[in-house]
Amino acid sequence: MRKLNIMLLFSCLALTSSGCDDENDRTAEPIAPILKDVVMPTESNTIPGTTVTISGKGFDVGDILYCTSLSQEKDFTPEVTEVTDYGISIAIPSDAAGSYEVEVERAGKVSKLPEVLKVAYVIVIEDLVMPAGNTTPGGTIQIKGSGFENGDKLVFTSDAYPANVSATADVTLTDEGIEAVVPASCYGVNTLTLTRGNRQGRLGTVNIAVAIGDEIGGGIVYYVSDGGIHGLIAKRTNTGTATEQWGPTSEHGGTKKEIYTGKENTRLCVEAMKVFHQKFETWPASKKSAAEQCDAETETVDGIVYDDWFLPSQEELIQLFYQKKMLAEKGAAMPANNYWSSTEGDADDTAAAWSAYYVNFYEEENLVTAASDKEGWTIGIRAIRQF
Amino acid sequence: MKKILFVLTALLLATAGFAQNQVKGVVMDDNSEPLAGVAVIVKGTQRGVSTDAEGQFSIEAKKGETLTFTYIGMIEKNVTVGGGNSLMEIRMVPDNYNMDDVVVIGYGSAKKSDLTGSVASIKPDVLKNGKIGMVSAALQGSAAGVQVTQGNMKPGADASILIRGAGSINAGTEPLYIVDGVPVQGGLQDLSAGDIQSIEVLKDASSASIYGSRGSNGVVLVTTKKGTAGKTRISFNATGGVQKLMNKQRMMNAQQYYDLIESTGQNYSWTSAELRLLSRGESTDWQDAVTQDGSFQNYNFSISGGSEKATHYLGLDYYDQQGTVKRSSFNKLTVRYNMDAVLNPWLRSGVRMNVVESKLMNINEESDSGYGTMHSAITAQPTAPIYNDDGSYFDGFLNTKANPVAIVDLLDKPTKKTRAVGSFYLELEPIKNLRIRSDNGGELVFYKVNEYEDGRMGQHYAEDGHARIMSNKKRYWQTENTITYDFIRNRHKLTVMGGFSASKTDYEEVTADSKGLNWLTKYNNLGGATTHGPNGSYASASTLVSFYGRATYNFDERYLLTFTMRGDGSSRFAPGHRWGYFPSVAAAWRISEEKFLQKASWIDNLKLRVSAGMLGNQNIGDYAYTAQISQGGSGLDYVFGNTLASGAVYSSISNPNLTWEKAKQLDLGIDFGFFGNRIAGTIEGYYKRTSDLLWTVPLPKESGYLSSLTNVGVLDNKGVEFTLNTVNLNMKNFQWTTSFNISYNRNEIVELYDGKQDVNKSLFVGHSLGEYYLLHAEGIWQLDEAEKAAVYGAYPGDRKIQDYDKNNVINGEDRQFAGQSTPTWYGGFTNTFRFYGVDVTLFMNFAGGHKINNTLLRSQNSYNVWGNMSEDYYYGYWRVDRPSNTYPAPRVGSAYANGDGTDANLQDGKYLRIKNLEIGYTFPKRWTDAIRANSIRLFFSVQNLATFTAYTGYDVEAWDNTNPYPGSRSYIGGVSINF
Repeated sequence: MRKLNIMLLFSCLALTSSGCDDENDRTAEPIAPILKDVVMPTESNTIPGTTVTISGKGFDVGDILYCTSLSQEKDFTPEVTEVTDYGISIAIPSDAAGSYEVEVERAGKVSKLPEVLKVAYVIVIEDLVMPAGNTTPGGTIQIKGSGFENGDKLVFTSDAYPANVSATADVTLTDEGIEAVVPASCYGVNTLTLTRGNRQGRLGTVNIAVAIGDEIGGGIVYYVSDGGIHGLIAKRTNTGTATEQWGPTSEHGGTKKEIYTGKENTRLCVEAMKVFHQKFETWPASKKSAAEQCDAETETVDGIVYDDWFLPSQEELIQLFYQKKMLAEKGAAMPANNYWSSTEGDADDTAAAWSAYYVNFYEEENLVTAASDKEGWTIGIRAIRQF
Repeated sequence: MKKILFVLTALLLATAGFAQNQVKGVVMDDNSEPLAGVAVIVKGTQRGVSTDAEGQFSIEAKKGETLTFTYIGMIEKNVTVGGGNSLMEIRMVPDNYNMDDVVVIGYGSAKKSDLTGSVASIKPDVLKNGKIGMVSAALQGSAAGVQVTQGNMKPGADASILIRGAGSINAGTEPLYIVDGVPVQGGLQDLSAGDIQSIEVLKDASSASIYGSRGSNGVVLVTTKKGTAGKTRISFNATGGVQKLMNKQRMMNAQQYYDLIESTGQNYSWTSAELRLLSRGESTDWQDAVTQDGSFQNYNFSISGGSEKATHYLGLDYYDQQGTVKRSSFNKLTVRYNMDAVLNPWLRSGVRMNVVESKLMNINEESDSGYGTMHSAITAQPTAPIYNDDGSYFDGFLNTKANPVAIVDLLDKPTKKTRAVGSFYLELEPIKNLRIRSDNGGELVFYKVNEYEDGRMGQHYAEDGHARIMSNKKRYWQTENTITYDFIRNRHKLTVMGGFSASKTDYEEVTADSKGLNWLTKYNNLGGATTHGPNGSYASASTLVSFYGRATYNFDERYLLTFTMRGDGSSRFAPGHRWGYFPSVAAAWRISEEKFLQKASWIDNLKLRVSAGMLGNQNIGDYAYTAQISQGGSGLDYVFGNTLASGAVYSSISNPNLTWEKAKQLDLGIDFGFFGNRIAGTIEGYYKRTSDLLWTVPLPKESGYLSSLTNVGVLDNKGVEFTLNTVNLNMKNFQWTTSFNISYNRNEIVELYDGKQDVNKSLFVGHSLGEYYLLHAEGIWQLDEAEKAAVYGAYPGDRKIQDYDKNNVINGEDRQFAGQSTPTWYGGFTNTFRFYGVDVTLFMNFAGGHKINNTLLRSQNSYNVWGNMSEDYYYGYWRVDRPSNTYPAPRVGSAYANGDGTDANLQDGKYLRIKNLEIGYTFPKRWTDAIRANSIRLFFSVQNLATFTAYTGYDVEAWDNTNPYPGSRSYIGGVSINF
């Protein structure tokens, strides 16, 4: 009996001591930071010397970011300025540039961010003063400021140029800044960007004035405004045959007559024709209207492909009429013919549907312009550009 | 004279030259209280003495002789005299089936031998098996036919008691509790276990019918301690311990959760705080965060005594428990004073007073338990931190209304109760055997629930706080007047009792609701709130007037007959239908007293009992028979012009014929006691049919009402009960006793209404209440079953549902009966060992035959997009390379994945629990004498040491499986000193 008693005692004690069993106090083992929904700031906003925010979830105070250059630039470890539930803000060093792989370290564990941080390549010029007034192709411009270096180049770009077209000029260092010769191919309002290897710095704009008769921009300047920094350029040759229809009897709508409206008129006509081609077999895709023909034109001069031609508006065509002698002198005569404008008729409600304006180039000096049958009449086409 | 004879005998024997020793000793009961008047006889001789007031004796006996100790109410004990001169300490085992024990029955008492009905008498000693919690919980497993369920484990929660099965659907199944003659609503929760003298459970119609219209669910009679004449007795008990959470649910940790979510490709919106926590390798264990080691302490002090003329008993009890869920607690202070006086030979009087004050700090138990504290803690995602970096509570939960830690920290919900119960009696005995007694008592209860939800608990709570107050007052009084006459002539004994009683209950309640409060003053300054309402109040009253009588006839101690009748008039029924009559009759045959069994000396008791009768249940609520009008409120008010006018509408139709639920009951039992009652017990069978069940019968909508409360329907409970008490070993220094009971109950709905079933309420004719009617889940569709699964729009990895009617569509027609929610069998098993001063008690209880709908499995065992899942799910979910037949694939939109509507979450409710393992040590008498104490006992107990069950939730008994208060294992130590 005593045994039984002792056994019971022991079993009770054993059960008691095992009462607080499986308290599995697991120790926390840190793992690499888990970061979700990470989006890098855009390259253009990531300017050296500024603070940017990498948005995303899971960043923590105390996180260390390692930025390793993929562009042979110097690696850096930015200062973290703020951590929120929605991102981390870092200071981009002023000498940073190009693409960086970013790793986040926390408690000795590292995660790589899924996207690359792109820092804009920037040249910083201080006390910059751009030249005032207009210059001309081949003219010399002087830009004041400090931070220029030997070997820097100036890149001239303009909205007036066909896409991806630019011109480059070497610079000469001066006491106050730099000096450079405007490339002969430049015209209109130009943006100047200073480049040094991969880096670049946007300096500002210069106005390059041209005059009527200048052979530039793929053709011959025949109209200018604003002192020569805006204008129209005629193609040296006609487009299509001498007997082109304007287009189908159908109102494209929205066309205007004024100077500098031909480009938009042409865009409207091309868009309208896309619909028309689908609907009506009379004008299959292979059969192009006057506007479409101009739109498709290209002209290569000195290796530059000009592909932004359009059908002039009525007023633009009238100015071309006034300059037909000048064009002839430059070897770009307009054969005697009637020429289509991109302006639809507006005499009454139905005029836009069946007619478009033309200008009579048979006349020597007397301007004859009216609206005529878009489809029934066949006349000439001359494409122009605008700057 | 006897003494002289003994002395002479002793002298004679001594002179005869035998080597006689003077054997000295002390005789005690099982609580080490000395027993005076125990007969000590040397077996086979005429030598004998009896113990003195200190339980001490001294007798001449020689080595090898046997001393026999006999005492009424104790099992006879034989001890062989050994060598040496040491003081013998004899402990006697109480005889639980002693026929001379007096048992309390309604409006009187009776010798156990005279009982004809089914009365389970529970000794206060068994209450020690439930040291934590309420007295009701301590009754678990103590008596056959008494099913006790601790459905809520929170501190201060009461256990429910069901006697012989659920006998009602709408009128409650709670038995009638009578404490010292006064009915006490809400069970036994306000009693101190230390004050209880005895508990009697009246189970059958014969014993309970004296309570008529309130007796159909059985009656629990509690008698508190009285003082006894003689020495003043002082008793002090101190108990304390810790509680450890049991069955912590094993959920996925943060890393597993992240891994699972990421692997499913779910578009999960992680918060930065979660990702940071994951990177730190941490995981929030929400269950740990809201729980703690609970603690508890209980001090009980009593002083009693008196003279032949007056006795008194004063009991003080303080109970304090800090729950395993943080900030949940319960404390209670009980003061009891009982006094009885013999004013003169024919007049006695006495008082019973009990004042209780308690405070319960609740956890969040919203009506939608999915938002409750524990469900929030179990399912909150482990990736969520408790606090944000700025110290505020994290509030980005998918599933829960609030951060579980915020709920436990900030929810302030105390329930305060003050209860005063008292009564006084006058008893006249003008002539011998005629007693006229008037017992008058009352109860006053103040109950207040304050609630403050702090706005910081989260976005789903009112920003500037929300306070609610519910306060009620209940007043009850009664007068009970009885006249009893005992007629005894030769072999005839007749006792007749008649009585009259009247009682009234008043109840009033007020509720207030305010938002936008000062967080410091909370519910204590509703006037400072920015918005008020809805507020409400109501009052009700009911009265009960009764006449009752009982006649018991005993012929030659062999044939017993009892007739009982009660007539109740209740204000709860319509005029003309207020009176109900509840008769019963019982007979018993004490076979053991018959001559033909006199020779069978091993049979001490054999009694056959049979009883039949009718009981009622008037628990239908006040004014239910009459048409009721609702006035005021957002749905009823009108705007006339620009003025708000209070609207009113009939809210219920009258039913002047509404009447009692009636329970007819038949009971057949055999009581037995063999070998000096060392083997004693009862076998009993019963059949209870409840008719006129209260039922909300649907009405055609043209009537303007949805339903009418009507008496229809029939419910049966049939069962058998078996109780066995044995004294297995009763040696000098070692005793082993066993007590075992088991009950089986079959519950069946016989009729509802017009042959109808009620699928929505899970009520089916021919089945038990709470029968499950569900689709049958057959595991998981496997890869090679893809084609078959496609028929049902399912894919491999989805839950497979049995197409019962084989029509290729899974719908309500495929449902089947899947078991019942209430146990069909239950019981208790106690073994007590005593070895010198050491006592060991091992108490187990058990239940089974039922299924538990473990609603936690909904979220634990299937993929859900709003919270955590179990670790088992993580390691076991269906994957092409790892097929499972238990855990569905983590596919959003997978039908029946969470098991809703199916039997997938049903678990076998069968359990066996080691409820109490207790080791006590009673200091030897010679030590305790040194400090003039009667006894000092130290004990250590483990409660809920182990539970063997297939159920996986917190606690197999919990009612609410979604938001259960966790069960706990308790380690308790204590000391008990008696002077």
